[in-house]
Amino acid sequence: MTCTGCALLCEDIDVHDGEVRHACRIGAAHILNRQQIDPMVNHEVVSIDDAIRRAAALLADAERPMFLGFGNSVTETQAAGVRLAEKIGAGIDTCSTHTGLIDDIVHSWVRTCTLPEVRDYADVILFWGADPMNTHPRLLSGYAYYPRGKNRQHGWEEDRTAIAIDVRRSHTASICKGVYEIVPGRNIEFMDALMLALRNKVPKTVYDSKQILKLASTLKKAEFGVIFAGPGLVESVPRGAIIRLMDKLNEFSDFRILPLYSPYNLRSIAAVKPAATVTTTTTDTATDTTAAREHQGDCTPTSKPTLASLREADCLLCVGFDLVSSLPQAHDIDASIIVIDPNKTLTAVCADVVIPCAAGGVDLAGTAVRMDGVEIDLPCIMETGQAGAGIWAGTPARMSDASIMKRLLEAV
Amino acid sequence: MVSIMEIYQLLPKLNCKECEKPTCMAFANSLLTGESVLEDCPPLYRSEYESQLEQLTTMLAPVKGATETGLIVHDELCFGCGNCVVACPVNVANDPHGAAVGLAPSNDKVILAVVNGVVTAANVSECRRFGPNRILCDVCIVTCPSNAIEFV
Repeated sequence: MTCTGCALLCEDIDVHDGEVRHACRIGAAHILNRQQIDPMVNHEVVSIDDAIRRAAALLADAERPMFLGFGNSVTETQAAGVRLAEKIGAGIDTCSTHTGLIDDIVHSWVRTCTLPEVRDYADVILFWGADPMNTHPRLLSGYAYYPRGKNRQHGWEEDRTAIAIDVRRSHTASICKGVYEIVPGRNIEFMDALMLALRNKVPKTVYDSKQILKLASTLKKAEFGVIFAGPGLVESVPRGAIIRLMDKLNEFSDFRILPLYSPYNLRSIAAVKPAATVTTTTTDTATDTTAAREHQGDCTPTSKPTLASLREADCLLCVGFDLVSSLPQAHDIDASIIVIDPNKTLTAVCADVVIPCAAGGVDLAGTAVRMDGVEIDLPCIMETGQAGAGIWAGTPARMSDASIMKRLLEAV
Repeated sequence: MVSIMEIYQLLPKLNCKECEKPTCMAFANSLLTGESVLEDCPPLYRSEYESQLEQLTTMLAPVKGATETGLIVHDELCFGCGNCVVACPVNVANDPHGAAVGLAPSNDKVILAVVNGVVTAANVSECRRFGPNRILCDVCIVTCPSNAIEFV
C-alpha cells in the first residue's frame, strides 16, 4: 500500500487489524486519522448535496474566484479542478514556494534524478533549507543516506556524505557529517561565497571562509551529488541563483537537485499547470506576489499567497489546503470560503461551506506523482462505510473530491 | 538516564548477598539491566530505608520497559523514520533485500521495525549487545535524530 502522508509516497506500507507497519509517524497518523468533518453551510450541519449546491451557487456568483491547494489531491481531482477553474475563470494557486523549482526541473533548466538513483549512486547529499527528518522522515532511511545502493554498498558509514545547510541545527543536521549554519536572511551570501570557493577563490564573507572552501572541496570531489532543496532555499534565493549554482557544480562533478515539499501530489499540479498558477489567475496573484517579494528585496516568482492577493478574490475554494493555518490573518477576509478536505482543519472551522471528501490513498484510489516525477498508483487502503472494515469500521462512506469537482462542474 | 552509582548510593550497602549477588554494586548493575528487581533486596524494605526505596522506585520506572539488551525506545520522541531499522547491522545481514536497501523489512528476523509510527524491538537475542559476548554496538543510537533510543 502507498502512504500519502508526504511527497515520498512510500509504497511498502502494510495495514491490517488497525495496525500500520513501516510508515513513519506522519504516515501512521495520516492513515489512522479519524478527525472527519460533517458537510456544513454557514457552520450548520447539512446534507452533502446541500453543501455542494451551496458551493456551486457561490462559485457561479463569484466574479473573482480563486482555487487554493490541490497539492494533497490525486491527479484525477486536479484534472477536474483545472477544468472547473477554466470554466468559471478562476485562478489556481498551489500555495507552495516550490512551484518555480519544479518548473525549472520540468523544463530541464536544472538536472534532476529519481529517488532510486539517489539510493544507488549518490555519494554527497546536501539538505539545503530543509529538515527532512521532520517533514519526510523516511527520506534518509529509504533513499538518501542509510540504505545500501547499487554503487554504494557500504551505506552511510563509508560511501556517503550528508551535509545540512540551514538556519538552525535541525534534527537532520544532528545526524549529518557536515553542518553549515546560515545567518537568517543571508542565504544568498552563503551561495555567493560557495560560488567563489568553487572558482578556487577565498570568499570574503560573514561565514567562515575555511569552512566554505572545505565544503566546495567536498562538492567538487562528488561522483554523484544531490541537493534536496527545502523551502529555506527556494524561498530565500532567486530562481536564477539556484540554476547558476547547479551549472557551476556540474562543471566539476555530476550534481542533481530534487525539491523537498510536503504536499504529496504537488509535482503533478505544478508541472501540469505551471501557467495557471501564475498567469491565468483573475486576481493577478503573480503580480501581487512578485510585488511583495520585491518589497522584501527578493524577486523570486513563487505562488505563495499573500493576504493582499487573497483580499482581491471574492470566493476561495480550498482543496486539501488549510489556508488559515498557513496564513492566520486570512480568517477574517471578506471572500466566501469553500473547503473540500478529508479532515477537520482550522479553515474548515471558519469556512462558509465545508464539503468532506475521501483521502487520496487512504479511502480513495488514484494516481499521484512523487517528488522525483515518477507516477505512483495509489491503491485504496480501506473502504469507508464497510461494516467491520478494521480501522474505518462504522465510519460513513466519503465521496471522492474528483466526484465533488465533477458535480460542481455540472452545477455551475 | 540513571547510572549504576546513583542506584548503588540508595541501596543499603550491606553486601548481605540475600539477593544472590556478591555485592550491592553487582545488585545495582543487575537492577539496571533488568536482571533483578527491587523485591530481591529484603533489607531495602525495612522502615529505615523507606525514603531510599521510594527514590529507587521512581528512578527505575523508565528502565522497566527495557529489553534484555537494555534497549529503551522513548515513544514520545520517535519519528518512525526507520534510520535505525536500515542502519542496524543485524537487520542488514538478516534482510539484505528489505531493510538493507531502505525498504520495509521483508521477514521476521529483523531486530527493529516501525509499527504505528514508532520503532519496536523484536528478536533481541540477535542484537550484538545480547549475551555474554556482547559488543557495544551503537549504530541505532547514533543514527537516531531525536535521541529516542537508549541503552541502560
